[in-house]
Amino acid sequence: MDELLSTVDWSRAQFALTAIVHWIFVPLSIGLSLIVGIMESIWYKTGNVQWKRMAKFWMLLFGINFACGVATGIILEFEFGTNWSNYSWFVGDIFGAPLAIEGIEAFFLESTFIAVMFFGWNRVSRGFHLAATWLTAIGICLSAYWILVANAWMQYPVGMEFDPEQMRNVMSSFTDVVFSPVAVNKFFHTVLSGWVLGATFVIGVSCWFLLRKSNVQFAKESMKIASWVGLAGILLTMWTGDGSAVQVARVQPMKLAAMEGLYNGTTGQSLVTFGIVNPDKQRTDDKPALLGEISIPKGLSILANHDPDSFVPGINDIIDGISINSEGDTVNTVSYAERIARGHQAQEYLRIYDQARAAGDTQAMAAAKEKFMVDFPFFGYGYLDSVDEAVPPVALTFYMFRIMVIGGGYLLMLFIAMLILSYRKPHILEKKIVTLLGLISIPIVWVVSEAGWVTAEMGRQPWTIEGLLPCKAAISAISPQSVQLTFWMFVVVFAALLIADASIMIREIAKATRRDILNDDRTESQAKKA
Amino acid sequence: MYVDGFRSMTVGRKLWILIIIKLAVIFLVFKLFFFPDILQENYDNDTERAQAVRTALTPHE
Repeated sequence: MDELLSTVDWSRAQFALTAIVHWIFVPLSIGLSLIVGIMESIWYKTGNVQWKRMAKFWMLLFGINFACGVATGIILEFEFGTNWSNYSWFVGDIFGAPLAIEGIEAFFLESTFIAVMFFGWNRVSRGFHLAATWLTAIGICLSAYWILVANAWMQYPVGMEFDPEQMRNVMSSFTDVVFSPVAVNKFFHTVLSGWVLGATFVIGVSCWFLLRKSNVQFAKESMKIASWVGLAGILLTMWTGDGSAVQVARVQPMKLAAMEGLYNGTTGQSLVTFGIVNPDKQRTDDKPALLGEISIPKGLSILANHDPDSFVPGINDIIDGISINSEGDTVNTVSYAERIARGHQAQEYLRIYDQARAAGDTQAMAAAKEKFMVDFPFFGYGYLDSVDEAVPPVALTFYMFRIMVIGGGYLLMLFIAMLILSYRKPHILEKKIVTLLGLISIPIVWVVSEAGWVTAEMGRQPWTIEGLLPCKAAISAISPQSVQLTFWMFVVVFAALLIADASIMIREIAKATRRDILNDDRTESQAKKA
Repeated sequence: MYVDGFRSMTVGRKLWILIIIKLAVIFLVFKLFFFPDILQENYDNDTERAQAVRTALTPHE
């Protein structure tokens, strides 16, 4: 058992590492492709070649990022087959279909139009090139959509029926899976956060030019576009984040309770703005969950239910079977102790089904299946040793959520400030303090973006598929040493990749500081060659 | 367009080398030697794979 747990831990660490590294590249591609598309559109509309040169410079950085990031996500699929074989079989075609569509679409749409985007200058018409640029940006977003459909299904499994004969979930409604409200919201929240990241990157790099007193006009014009994109992105991200909070309250209330460090909920529940998670707190004791807490009265009730007097359940309430339904009403659900009992029952019926199947007794198989399906919604709970195992890591979820939210607030201020300065006091943009602020915002935006994912994924622990399959049941029967070995290999490869990405980008940016991007034709030829 | 594009690359040439090395490491090293599909490799057909997962997910108490 210890070995199995160790395999689970190493497999989770490996998956987290791969996903985090993959997510370094993806949002930058999403954001930069949009900004390049806007700049090229302005060139198309105005005929001003300086916009074309600006688009080409940012396209060069987009290309470097895309080249370094491409295919890093496929490693996640390898991990499914090796480390998570029970899981990958159990999810069946629900997971396979969107990933296959993503693979085909990404290959044909993105690779085709990216080639036109980079090699097509002066070879295809302006309109066709512009279309290729936008189709690349759209293709990247569509790829993200299919991946997020798969992720959303794990958080909120819908549109499927479990078949004990095949021992996997079978899709019963493609539209329910593809247009799951969780998937749709997650898509917009994620893609819009990519706009924010891309915009912050452009602002940061532009600040570098200003700090070096090089390409000042180029930097300021880039900052204007990026600030608008960033402001739109952050406002819409906040709006979709609000939608996400409402959804989490309904479909993953335990995640919301962990995000807030909330053990015992109440009506008119306050929202924690600051607090330190009490390390001595046990679920059932009376110790405070948070130290030095500062809260907004009724804030969480407003966030979760858009009703200041509504009830928000805490961890203990949910374990006791008190929650809120899809309409936001307080309801009695099934307590976690009963869920565990019914999960055991489901496993027992599956065992009986298996024995009947081995004996070729179709009547007994049908009877066992019927009983199994009644308790199937609690199947995963049968693997938990206690109700405490169903509680996500509170401290990590709590802090990551706050990093995301506070960081988002900082970025909103940054975009507003940069916009005001860009239009009203552009000379202040060249002050050292402003340029340094822009530069340090580059690592900050990545931390904020990754914190969002950590909140979403750690907050749904211990599940791979909510309520149906916990991590410890999803794992393959392999040794922890084998996962450990590949984990460290990934550390080396990913480190090399990130160093290559950063060093190639820095070199190109440094080269650009030594010439006039807006008026130098070499910029065009260089981007064309890339 | 593609041939001309590849021929005239400078930064892109480095990137293509990076992509090729990366894909080689991912598919020829990781996939081939370290990431077998456990169920595909150990069982002949889907019925056997389903049985293996059913056995794994119904531990005897």
